[in-house]
Amino acid sequence: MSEGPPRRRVVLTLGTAGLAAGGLGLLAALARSVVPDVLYEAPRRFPIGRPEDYPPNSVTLLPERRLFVFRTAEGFHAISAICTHLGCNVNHEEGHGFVCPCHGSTYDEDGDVTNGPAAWPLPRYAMSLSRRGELVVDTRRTVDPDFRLRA
Amino acid sequence: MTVLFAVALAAGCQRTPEVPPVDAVQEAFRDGELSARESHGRRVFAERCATCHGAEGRGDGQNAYNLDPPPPDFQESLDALSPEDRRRVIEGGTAALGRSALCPPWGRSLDELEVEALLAYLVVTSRPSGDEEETGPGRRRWRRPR
Amino acid sequence: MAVAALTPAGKGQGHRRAGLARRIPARLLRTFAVLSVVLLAVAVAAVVQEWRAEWRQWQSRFAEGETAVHGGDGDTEQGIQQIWLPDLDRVDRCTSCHLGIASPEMKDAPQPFRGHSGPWLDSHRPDRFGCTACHGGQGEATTYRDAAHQPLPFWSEPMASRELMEARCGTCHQERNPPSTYWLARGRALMTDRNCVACHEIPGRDSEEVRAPRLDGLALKVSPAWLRGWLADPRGYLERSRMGDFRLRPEEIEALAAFLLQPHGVVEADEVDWTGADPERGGEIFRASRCVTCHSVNGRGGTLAPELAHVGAKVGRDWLYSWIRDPHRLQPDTLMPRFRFDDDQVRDLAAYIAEDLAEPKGLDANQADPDPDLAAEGRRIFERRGCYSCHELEGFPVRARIGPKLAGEGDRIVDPAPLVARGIEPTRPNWLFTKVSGPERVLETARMPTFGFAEDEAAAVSVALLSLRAQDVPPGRITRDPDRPPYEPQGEFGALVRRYRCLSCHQIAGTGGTLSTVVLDRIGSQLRRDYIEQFIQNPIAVRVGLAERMPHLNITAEEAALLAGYLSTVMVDDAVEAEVPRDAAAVARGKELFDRHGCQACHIVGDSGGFVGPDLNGSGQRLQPGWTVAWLLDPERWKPGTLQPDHGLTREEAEALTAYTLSLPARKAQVLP
Ligand code: FES
Repeated sequence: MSEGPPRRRVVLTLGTAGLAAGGLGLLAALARSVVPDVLYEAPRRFPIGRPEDYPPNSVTLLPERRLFVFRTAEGFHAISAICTHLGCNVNHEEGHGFVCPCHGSTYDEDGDVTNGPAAWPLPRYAMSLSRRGELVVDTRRTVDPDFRLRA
Repeated sequence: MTVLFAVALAAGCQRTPEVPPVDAVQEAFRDGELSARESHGRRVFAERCATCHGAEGRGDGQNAYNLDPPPPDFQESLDALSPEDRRRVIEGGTAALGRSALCPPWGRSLDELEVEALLAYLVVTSRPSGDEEETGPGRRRWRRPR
Repeated sequence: MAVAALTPAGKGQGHRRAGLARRIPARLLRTFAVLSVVLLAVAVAAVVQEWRAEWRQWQSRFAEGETAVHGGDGDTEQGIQQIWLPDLDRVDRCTSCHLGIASPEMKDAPQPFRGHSGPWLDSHRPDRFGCTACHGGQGEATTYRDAAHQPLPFWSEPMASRELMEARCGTCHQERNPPSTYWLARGRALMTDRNCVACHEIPGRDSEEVRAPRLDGLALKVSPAWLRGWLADPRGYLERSRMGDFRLRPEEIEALAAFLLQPHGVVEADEVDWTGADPERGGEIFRASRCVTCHSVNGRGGTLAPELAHVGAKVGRDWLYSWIRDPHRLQPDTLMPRFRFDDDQVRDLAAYIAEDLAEPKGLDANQADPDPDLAAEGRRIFERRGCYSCHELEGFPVRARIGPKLAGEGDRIVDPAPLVARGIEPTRPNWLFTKVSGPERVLETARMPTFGFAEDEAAAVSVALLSLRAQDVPPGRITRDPDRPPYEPQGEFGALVRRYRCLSCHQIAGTGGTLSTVVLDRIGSQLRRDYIEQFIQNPIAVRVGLAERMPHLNITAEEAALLAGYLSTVMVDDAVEAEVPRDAAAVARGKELFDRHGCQACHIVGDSGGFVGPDLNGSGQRLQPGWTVAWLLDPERWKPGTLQPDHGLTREEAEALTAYTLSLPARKAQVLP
């Protein structure tokens, strides 16, 4: 006690700094807790098989995933098959893009709307290659029309 | 007070150590000392092999005396065969090792699990029969490996 | 960071702080500092814990391994992985750590990365079935402990052992047992055998038949002493008794016997003249007819019908006479055929059985008739214990199910006390096991009889019961056999099939018994017509080592012709009909193959060979060539579990072997067994 001031000052500084850092940390943790690790839903990122399962220059519909997988000379890309109007499955017509059978929306080869009633383009999803050599689609991330995965 | 506590402690220690409750159904699944895979193997063996090799693999099945060369006693002969060769005999018959064709190939009739089970049971049949006493009646409880 | 904060900053600030520090009481200041540091520690701990979560560590280890094997570039799964199965109400996050589970190349990797063993994932894709539906455990957990790899307090579904997992197969596979489910199949067979469905409603097994004798006219059949002994301890008389022990008290037995021995129904015995009865000739008939194909005598013989060593002490010879003469009159649903005996033969046979197979066993010494006044009390016991659920008796409803429904039995909340008292872990499987072993062990006043299951049998039945879950299985996930009505033979053929009870042992279109391994569906394409006709009249075993052989039913020549005609024109399969070249070259090639594949190890040709398969001498008179080829090409397809190995023959080889086998001459004299 007799040494007084300097030691008291150290303790006070320590306390304030601890409070500030701890509070910041907890705030960060709180913010993090708002973003869930997973939700009760089907996985948004899933493997769709090996590149060789898709013939060159082909368009493949994965009905369970409601997804078109394109393999062109430049590489792979994936476009959703769910019409952005009311959610019907769109059909792909070679050279004409996509046509929705429900209310007649049409989209071009990149999935951009060419005719209503749909207002938004079909989402183009990010693709990657897993270490085990499988194609992986991530429906949480959309990409530019010129995205191509080289495999 | 202290005395009382000491007495209570002593009484507590003297109680017979508690026997852990048994998992009765798992005990009932056990076929003697055999694991689940080994007893599966024993069933496959009884179905497909025992007619010639005998239930315990001693080469004394009812059809054994019709065979020349006769089926061997696994307790004596099995050690000479590597696990890969055992598998080859089960799947391709003795002919697969260039021996007589009397032991037929089972590779197309049995599935992978049955072959694995059979291999496991073969190890049991080749164990000298004295072994059981040494291991004693201590029964392993079912535990999943960590 | 904390150290940096400790270094004094500006001078003025330092003075101000010193002033502030001096004004706050020392104690408060210290508490403040300590609490702040604790707060910081908590914050750090939270971050560390999140960052070092079990699944994150496994994932980074897995990624290291993957990089080592598959090279650096590329993506691996990151974050919590889950399989979401809304229809099963399950979320399985097991794949967050079990990262190699679906990769066959990871089969030998250490856990938790090991690939799934066996062929199951091919038929049960992980994304459609998840993990816990089959394995149990807590799918939403992301740590080893919480996932209930080991039993976990307050989680009722820990991961199942290899054997208990079969119960979970049975939840969806309700009718047919999937392959490699030994315990489930055995438990279900035992439940069928013990007529569980007579008292309990069991999902998926409702169409099962209940087999038990009708009790009308029991007084004409059994002696009071036998009845008392039987009611007291059925297994004392019949080791394989299908009826359980109802744990009756002596006065209950007396009353029940009094009730049962009253005249019920209209059953009359035949009038028999016993003069000239010749038991010795009866014994010859007994052996020649091969009664032991189904019955056993002193434990040797078949298991389809009751042991006969003591039957003479149970039933009188008059009843035996009526029974053998026409079993279907006394018990319309019996499996026993009506042999074609003349009255003298029946008399001699009955005399033989009544005299020579009469060693008393497990019987009450008291031969006196029970007091008829007790019958009213006996009737009440008969009702209370639900005897009429299995046994038909005039004036009682058929199959009144007095037991509880078994749907959801596998999820029942159980009272742990009786198990704890017996030193058994109070889990649900153990509770069922204890109950099945002896219902009185969990409930003193249980009405259910004790079936006297051996330990492994009780465990098997527990597996079958555990498959009955409380949660409804989505209809799309239940595998059912296509609805196939039971096969009912018609016309004259049908009358003969019923008289000789062919379907007690043989199967046609999935209906019938399994004692005989010969399914009749395509028998007309397998065997030659004249051979069938001859065999029906005089069944000679073609397989020396097989214990069960077809009984001599004394089928007449006309009946045999009719049966053979029907079987070889209707019970055929065009897919196995084929012409096979049988020239000398083919025979020679066949002989070479026969030696190369060691066929003689199991088959007799000439005078030597093994006893496992059929004797092949003269098989040309027996077998159809097309069938022989089909059989050799894929025996497992026609008879799962057969001892005929699949040698992987080409069609040409199978045809050559057929040509050779069918060319073998019959032996000079067939020795009758
Ligand atoms: S849903 Fe496709 S146009 Fe309306």
